[in-house]
Amino acid sequence: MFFYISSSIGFLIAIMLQMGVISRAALLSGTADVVLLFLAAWSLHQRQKYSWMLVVIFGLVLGAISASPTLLFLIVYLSVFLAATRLQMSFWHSPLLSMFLLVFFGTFLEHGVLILGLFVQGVSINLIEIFTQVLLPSVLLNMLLTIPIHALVQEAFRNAAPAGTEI
Amino acid sequence: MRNLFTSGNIRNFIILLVVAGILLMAVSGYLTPLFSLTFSPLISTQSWLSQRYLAIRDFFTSPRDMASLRERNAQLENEVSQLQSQIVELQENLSQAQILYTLLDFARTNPQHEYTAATVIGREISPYYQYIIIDKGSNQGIMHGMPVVTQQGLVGRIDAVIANASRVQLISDAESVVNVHLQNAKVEGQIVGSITGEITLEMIPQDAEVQIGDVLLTSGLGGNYPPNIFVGQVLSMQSQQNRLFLSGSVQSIVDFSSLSAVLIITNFEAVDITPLVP
Repeated sequence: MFFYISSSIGFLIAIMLQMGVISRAALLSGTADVVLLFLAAWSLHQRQKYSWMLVVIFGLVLGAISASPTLLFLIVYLSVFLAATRLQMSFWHSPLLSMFLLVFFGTFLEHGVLILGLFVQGVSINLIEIFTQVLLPSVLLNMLLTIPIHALVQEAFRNAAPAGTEI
Repeated sequence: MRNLFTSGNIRNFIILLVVAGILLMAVSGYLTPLFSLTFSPLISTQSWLSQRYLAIRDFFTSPRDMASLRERNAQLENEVSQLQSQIVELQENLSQAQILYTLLDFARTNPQHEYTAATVIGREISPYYQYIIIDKGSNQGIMHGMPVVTQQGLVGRIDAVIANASRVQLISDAESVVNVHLQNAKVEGQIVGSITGEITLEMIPQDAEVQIGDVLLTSGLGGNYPPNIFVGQVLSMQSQQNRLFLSGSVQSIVDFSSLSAVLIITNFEAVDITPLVP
């Protein structure tokens, strides 16, 4: 129970940080996605059976807050969570490299899905402009924030886990 | 009669004369160099002695003073940090008050509308949408479609409302379209946002004489915004032969990236003309 409560608090802090601070600090027109970063780091470390439910809940919450179609964030975050679970189960046990991999492809997936959503909504899209002004700066910012967020989440798990538990 | 000019008397008289002469010279200042030469080593010695004494006295009394000084220093540092935090708080209040005074000025100069002031508490999560979150919602009488302005001009309109917060679609959003008219050219047009937040002017007839710097105001067409709200200025115009209309870029005076407070026009009800669109 403690895991679910503390994880929910973590997600809420990430969402508030994203809306209040990170979204205002744009590079060209791109911004980092702290929620995605937190989700990637959290998914790589968690070992609970029903943790996917938290992803669904907070994916829907973000969909409700955001102006984008409701299910887009849910699709992106569930995909990242599933990819993290696969990486976690694989023989390749290097959390930081897995995190980089997840964040890199997760950002591309997120932006791809959002662009698709815009396309469906009938917004005129200039792909070159999007790539240079939004996507690349966002990828760069996400990659820059990967190590600090990973370290924070890892430390939180280490402090929360009972002594002797493998992280 | 005793003899006055004895050798003893003469000696005493000479001594008296010498002493009187020395006194006269001293009073008149002739002996000052001599005095300074004589007293200088004495003063130096006195000064050295006094300094050594004070140093020795400080050595024995300093521990007590140091303790009291440290205590006083800690107390003063504490007061300084408290005052600094008060200064920061007051500066924040001052900047907030300045913003509110400017908004109040705008409200006074446009008395035809009723306003509710709101603070910007967040921005849209996705970089592809230009939205802000404000701290006023349906509990404060905010409704979908209400226009949002600042003292500098049009900001956008209310897109979604919950009890104590609302989401505002900025005019720079890719899905935003605002009907405008050019104040000087008397021409109607539309401003459209984009994914990167740039605003373009569209639907301007080819024969319209649009100058750079022309002022854009809301026209009120479509029923989404009240008329004559300042929107921005024409930054540049492009003309293409194979197109029916001119287009151009618009510079909004509102800095959307640093919005901190806005006014919601509460006595304007947006008209939904969707059922009339064929």
